[in-house]
Amino acid sequence: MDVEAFLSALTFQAGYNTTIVTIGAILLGWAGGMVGTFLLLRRRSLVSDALSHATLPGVGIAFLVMASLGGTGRFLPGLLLGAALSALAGLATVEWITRRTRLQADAAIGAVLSVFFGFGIVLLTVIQSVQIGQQAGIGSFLLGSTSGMLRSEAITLAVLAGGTALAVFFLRRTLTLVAFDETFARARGISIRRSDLLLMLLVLAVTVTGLRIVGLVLIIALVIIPPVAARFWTERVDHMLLISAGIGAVSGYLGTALSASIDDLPTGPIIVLVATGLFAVSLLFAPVRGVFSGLYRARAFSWKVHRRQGLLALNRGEAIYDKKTIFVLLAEGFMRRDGSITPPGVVAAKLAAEEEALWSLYLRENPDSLHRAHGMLLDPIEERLGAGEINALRLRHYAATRQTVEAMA
Amino acid sequence: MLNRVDQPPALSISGLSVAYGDKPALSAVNAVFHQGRMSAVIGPNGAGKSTLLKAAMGMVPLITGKVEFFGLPLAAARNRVAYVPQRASVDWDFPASVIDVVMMGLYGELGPFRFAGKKHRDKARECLREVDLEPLADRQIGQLSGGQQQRVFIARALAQKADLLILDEPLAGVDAATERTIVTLLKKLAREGAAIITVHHDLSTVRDYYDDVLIMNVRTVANGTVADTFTEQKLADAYGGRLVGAGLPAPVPGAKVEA
Amino acid sequence: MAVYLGLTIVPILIGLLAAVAAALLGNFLVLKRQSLMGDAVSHVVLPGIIVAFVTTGSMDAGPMLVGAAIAALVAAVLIEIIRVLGKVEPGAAMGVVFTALFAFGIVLLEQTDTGAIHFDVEHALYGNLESLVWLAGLEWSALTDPAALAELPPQLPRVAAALVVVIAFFCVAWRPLVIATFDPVFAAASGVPVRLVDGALIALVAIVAVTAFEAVGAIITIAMLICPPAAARLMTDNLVRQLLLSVVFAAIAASFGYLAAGAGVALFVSGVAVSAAGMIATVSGLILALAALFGPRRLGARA
Repeated sequence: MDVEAFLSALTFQAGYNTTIVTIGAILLGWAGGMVGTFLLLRRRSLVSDALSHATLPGVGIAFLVMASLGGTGRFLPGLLLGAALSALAGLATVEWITRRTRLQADAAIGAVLSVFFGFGIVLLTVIQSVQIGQQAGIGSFLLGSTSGMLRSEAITLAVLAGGTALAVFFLRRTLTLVAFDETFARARGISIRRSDLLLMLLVLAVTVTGLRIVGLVLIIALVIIPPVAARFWTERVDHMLLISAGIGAVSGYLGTALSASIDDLPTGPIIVLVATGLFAVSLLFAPVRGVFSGLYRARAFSWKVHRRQGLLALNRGEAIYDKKTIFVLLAEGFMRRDGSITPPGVVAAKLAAEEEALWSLYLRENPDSLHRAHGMLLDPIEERLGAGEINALRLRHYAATRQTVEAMA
Repeated sequence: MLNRVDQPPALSISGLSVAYGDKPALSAVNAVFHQGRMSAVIGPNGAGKSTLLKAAMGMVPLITGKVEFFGLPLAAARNRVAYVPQRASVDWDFPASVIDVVMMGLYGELGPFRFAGKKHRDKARECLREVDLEPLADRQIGQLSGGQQQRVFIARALAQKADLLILDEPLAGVDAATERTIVTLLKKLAREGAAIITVHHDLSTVRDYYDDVLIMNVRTVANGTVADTFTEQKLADAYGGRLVGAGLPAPVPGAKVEA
Repeated sequence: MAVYLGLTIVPILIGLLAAVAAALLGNFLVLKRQSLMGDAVSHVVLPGIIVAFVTTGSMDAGPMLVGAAIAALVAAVLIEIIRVLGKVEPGAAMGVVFTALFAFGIVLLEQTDTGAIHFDVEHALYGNLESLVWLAGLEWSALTDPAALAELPPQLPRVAAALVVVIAFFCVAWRPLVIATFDPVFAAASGVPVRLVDGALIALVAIVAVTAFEAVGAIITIAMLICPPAAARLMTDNLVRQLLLSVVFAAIAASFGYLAAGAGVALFVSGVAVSAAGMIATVSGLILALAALFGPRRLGARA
């Protein structure tokens, strides 16, 4: 890899075209990340797959039409218009199939993407064999390429990406409302159908803009990967939007710079791999919903469960069979290998029994609190309740116990 | 309680804890369900009723706890247990006829490979007759009403010839006639010695339908006979303020649904 | 007449066997609402094959099959991990995994010395069915001539073997497969090895995808996994009939698509060569469109 070229691409000094394309890719990533967030929240991520594959016949038809009218056939805005129109047809077909037949969205999406793409391939092979126009560049719609891009093309794409990013920015309130709470949005007089249609048009804009840079097979990665990665960092929609847009922008930026500095590296896959890297980091290490923090919390919780259950069993003088419970009690020094209880174990068991009794009483009095404060029943009671509350609980516990004793006597 | 020392409980659960991550779904739940009894599992939404039954069936990982069917681990008793999932958990547009679904209940008997013969079809038809659906045996399942679909599920459980039926909300969203049919049938099975465990929502019918009850809210609140356990106090312990003022219907001994 | 044997019948047969194998499996993907698993698996076959090539240095069918099957299972596991641990909807999880792996495959392909690899990305997407001719089979006598038979394109026995494996799987695991597809919760409670059945289904999709991929490209595989079963789904409420219909639809799409690509288009513009794979996908789409418009059971339970 050429470090110098990489750095100059990063600092926007690798020539006018590369700079424009890089800016375009950043804006595209930003817009894709935002649009994708809404798409994910509406549970429609894979509709973008149908949309992107459905662009191909449009590209082919636009090329044939323009070439037969005597043009070069390679005029980018024309090709993109064709792509947009056939993607819309694909989208309408998906909608029609899911509304008018028993088939579910997955089958409709799969059918549309494969058939439209297949038909697109038919058109491409026709174009290749009839030798009309300048075909170079049509193939790059499959996997994207920024090398050999004309200056006018680069500017067109940057403007399109910027426009899309701007449109998402202005529409974000409505889209958030619909994604977050459909019923509430409807009550506020927002048309869900129109909002979803707008969302699809934005996805379409991202797809069409990204065709030439990322390619139609992988463009959906730009609307799927960043929001899924962002989901691991936050539970809030507004934060998710920003993080997702950021991940998309960084992927576009680093990806374009990398592909400019390494020979034979197509831009699209590199952008996607950078996004994948950010995704993997999020999946594993994000503190909110990441795998490691989740595993750690689940283990810590399971430890507390075994500790409490084990101590209660020790206090009742019961034998313990659960291997994990035995392990926890041994590790905490509450039990010996022969199963006998240690002095600290005796004290801890008494304490656990008393806490358990108080928590049970608390729960009986406040059954609703269970789900609000999950796991607190396993924590030391004084960390969770105030002194006054504990004292009052203890008094009622004594009274109730005394009543039981009297009733039994 | 009852003199059932001679036979092990159909299902005994002790110290069962289940969590989704660090959110407890079940915390040290204890419960015993006996043979020959109709038992209800009740509790507020999110109390973990379905999770308890799924955990017992080994479909949810346990943190700790012990589950025994007829005194045996699940693997040894699987063929004696029939599980009826919630009706909404499957795609009723599936290309299958009513009898096809009931025949699925014979999996335990036939195993993965053996062919199903006329004998087995007759068996399935018999189970359909029990739920008054035999005339619809060849109907596509998507054409049935909700109540009829629920009865197909029950017929499939009958085909399993199980000693324990575990049903997740069998009376949710069914019409009154279906509810009557199902309850009558389950009571008959219980009289013949089977254990019936049902997740139940309608507190007003608990006294009429069930012998025993488990009241739970992530933890066990109470478990025993309806007469001893289904009290205003215990329900308030599980449901909290949500039941205050609503009151419970007074027990009306004469109003029981008779099989 | 005999010329057709080697030049037309053999490629058609390869396309047809691949289409039928895919369509059979696709029925269960459509019923499980996992059609796009076929899409995902077909895409991850590419990195699987390339990794197999890079590690073994051979283009033999064996390592390629193993690589693709492993890649598919890895993808399935990754999707499951992301779905469960990330609490992400399955569609999005699928989208993440297959685009990431596909991108990885392409970069690997571009960075490896591809001189030895006979395919490029375009080939991977839409194959080259037209080139799988049997030049030794231009006479009928070739059918009984061992030397000529040895010249058959190796893809033919491979797709045939894949189809046999699929049929064998259906024969052996029919009951568990149907129960696990209809009601996975009941299946698990009744002791059906649901995970094993699901895993086997995905592995088979991968095997069919890789054999088909080599012959006809990824796009036909996806089209054949989804369109014929989806069309059959709109025709009947009987599972066995649905399977048989999907086979018929797949066979029609494969043969008519191939013939249309070769002969039909030449009627309009002579000298035009059209991708047979693309044409087969297009015909399968037309069949689905007809079924969606006129299929007797197109509305299902909504009717």
